[in-house]
Amino acid sequence: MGGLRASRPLRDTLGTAGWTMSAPALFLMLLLLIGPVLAVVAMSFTDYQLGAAGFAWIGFDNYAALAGDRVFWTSLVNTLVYVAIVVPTSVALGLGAALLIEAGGSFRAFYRAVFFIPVMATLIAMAISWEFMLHPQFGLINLALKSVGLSGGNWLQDTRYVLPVLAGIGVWQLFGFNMVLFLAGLKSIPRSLYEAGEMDGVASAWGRFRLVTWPLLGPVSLFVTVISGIRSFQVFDTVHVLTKGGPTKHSEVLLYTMYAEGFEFFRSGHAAAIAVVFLLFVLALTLLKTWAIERQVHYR
Amino acid sequence: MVGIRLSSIDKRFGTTRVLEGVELDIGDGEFVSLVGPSGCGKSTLLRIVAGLERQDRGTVSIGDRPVDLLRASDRNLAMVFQSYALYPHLTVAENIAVPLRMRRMTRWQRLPAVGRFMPGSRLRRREIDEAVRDAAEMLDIAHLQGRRPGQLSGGQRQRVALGRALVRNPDAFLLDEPLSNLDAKLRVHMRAEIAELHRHLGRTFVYVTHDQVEAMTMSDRIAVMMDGVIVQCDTPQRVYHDPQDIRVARFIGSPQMNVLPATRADDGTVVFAGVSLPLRASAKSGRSIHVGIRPDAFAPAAASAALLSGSVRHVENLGPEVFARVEVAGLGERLVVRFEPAAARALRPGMPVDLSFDPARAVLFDAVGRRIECWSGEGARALRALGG
Repeated sequence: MGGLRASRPLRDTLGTAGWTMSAPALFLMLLLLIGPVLAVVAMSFTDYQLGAAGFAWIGFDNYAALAGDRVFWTSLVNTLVYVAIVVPTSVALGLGAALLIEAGGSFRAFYRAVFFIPVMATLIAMAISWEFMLHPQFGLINLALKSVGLSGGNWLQDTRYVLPVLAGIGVWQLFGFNMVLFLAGLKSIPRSLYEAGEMDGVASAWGRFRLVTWPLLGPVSLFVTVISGIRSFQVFDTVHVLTKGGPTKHSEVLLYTMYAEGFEFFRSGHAAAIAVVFLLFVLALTLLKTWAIERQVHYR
Repeated sequence: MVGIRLSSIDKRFGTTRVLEGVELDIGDGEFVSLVGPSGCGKSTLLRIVAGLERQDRGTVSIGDRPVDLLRASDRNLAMVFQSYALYPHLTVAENIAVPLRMRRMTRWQRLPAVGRFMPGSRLRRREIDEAVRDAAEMLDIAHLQGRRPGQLSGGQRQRVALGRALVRNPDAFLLDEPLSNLDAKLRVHMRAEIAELHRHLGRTFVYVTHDQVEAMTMSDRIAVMMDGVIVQCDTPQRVYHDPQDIRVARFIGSPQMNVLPATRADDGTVVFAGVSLPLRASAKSGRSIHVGIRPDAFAPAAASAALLSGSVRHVENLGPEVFARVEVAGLGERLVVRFEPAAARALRPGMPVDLSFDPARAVLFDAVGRRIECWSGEGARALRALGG
């Protein structure tokens, strides 16, 4: 008989209990995630310099300065070019490798491990190996090219090559991760769909891919693309170790510019403004993912 | 003529023999069910017919043409899968259209945006749209055409899967346990609908199921499979009343046939539970045999005419019929006996009952489960009169 009357106090209890139980997580999120982001946003409106005793609110001056800063624009364009090379290449290679591994019978675990090693390795350490490999005189790559009669380049000092070479390293580092996600996605496609396709007259591998594999990988592909986008926006380690943004700013990227502004020139307010621009790009990608996942690729 | 003929089909998975010398001849337009317990090889056999699995030995012919070298997509068969296997990203109409798009349109005409402008594409598309609409209307899913499978109920998905199968008019339909994911009520409904569809289309249907009721109610013939062989392939009537193997007798019919150990006396008379039955087994069988009696072959009898006496242990009232489990002294297992509701009203556990049964409906099996000839009642008397 007390069904209706009991329901309200119950909901209240649930509300209190719910808030109480999520409080620790909320507190930590505020402290470690939302707080710092708000601090960065606030800092971008000040003239604060690292180590300075005080600061003044200067409104949008930092952003105005960015808009007129040639280095910032170079850095932004370089980052976008880097992302435009790394994302499609690492997604396509990841998918291709996953399809080949899934289709082949033997050595699956071996291939999976081999392609996944760059993901697990520390990129700084790997960047140093790449530096040796790319060395113009005794690097493995130029020696190999020479042995087949080609002349290599000064990969990291040539303005034409430096960004594509960095992007190549980015692809090498990233595609194993994408491959593992695609492998998991392929595993979740029911075999009966391929059989249905066969009965419906789909006889070619391409036909199977178009009708079943690609559409059913939709959610995974979207996730992989967005994650690759975010991770390539974050390119920093290789630039810091290999080029320091050079030659003549040709490999200057957003995070490296931010690092240089903040920790070499101590212009923290300026660096914070760059960080906010960076966050906006990442946020846009995240929103795209949320929006697309909710309405497009889950076929509900 | 598009019958299907299977001759001496063998199939192994690793060291496990799944099919052994399967022979089956399915006539044009016939509805044949492959029925058996799980693991008997019925699904594998269907997949071999479809071309999704390759047999190790033997030949599959469709319409007098061997198809062993044809891949599944070239055999012009349609299949309905247990999981329905609908493409989740396509709408109902697009799902049904897939077999037509794949077979009637060129690769260029199928291209996403530009395909529309390829020569002949518009006409093809219109034909396909019409065929899809007809199929959807026939199956009563026309109003769902714009939805995706994820938004449909199990029964609706089932219809879409059927629509995708029948839209292109294949030589034969292969159905792999298509009703097993539906709830009991819907299953009964779809049973009738599929049977009706078969009559309407007049095509050959091969239907795999583990549910003997589905097989009994829909088929022209039932092929009962056990351990990789077809034990008996006959009309539902004969499979039910005239099982050629003890496993068929046990598998077909719900509740199960009573199969009871008995002995054959020297003159051929069958004796069980200490009672001589008015039955004679042919001399070829050994002494130890089995008698099979359907629950509905029993009838309550006056004590003087009773063949068996026992006591009721449990009563199951299904409404139109009542099944009682009756314990008879000297029999290892309890008998299942069907009663008319009127006769069953007084039945209570612990009550003694006297039963007789129609000897003509009893079937005999030898020690290894093969059917043995028997004569009963009039026949047996006639035989005695002839001095047999």
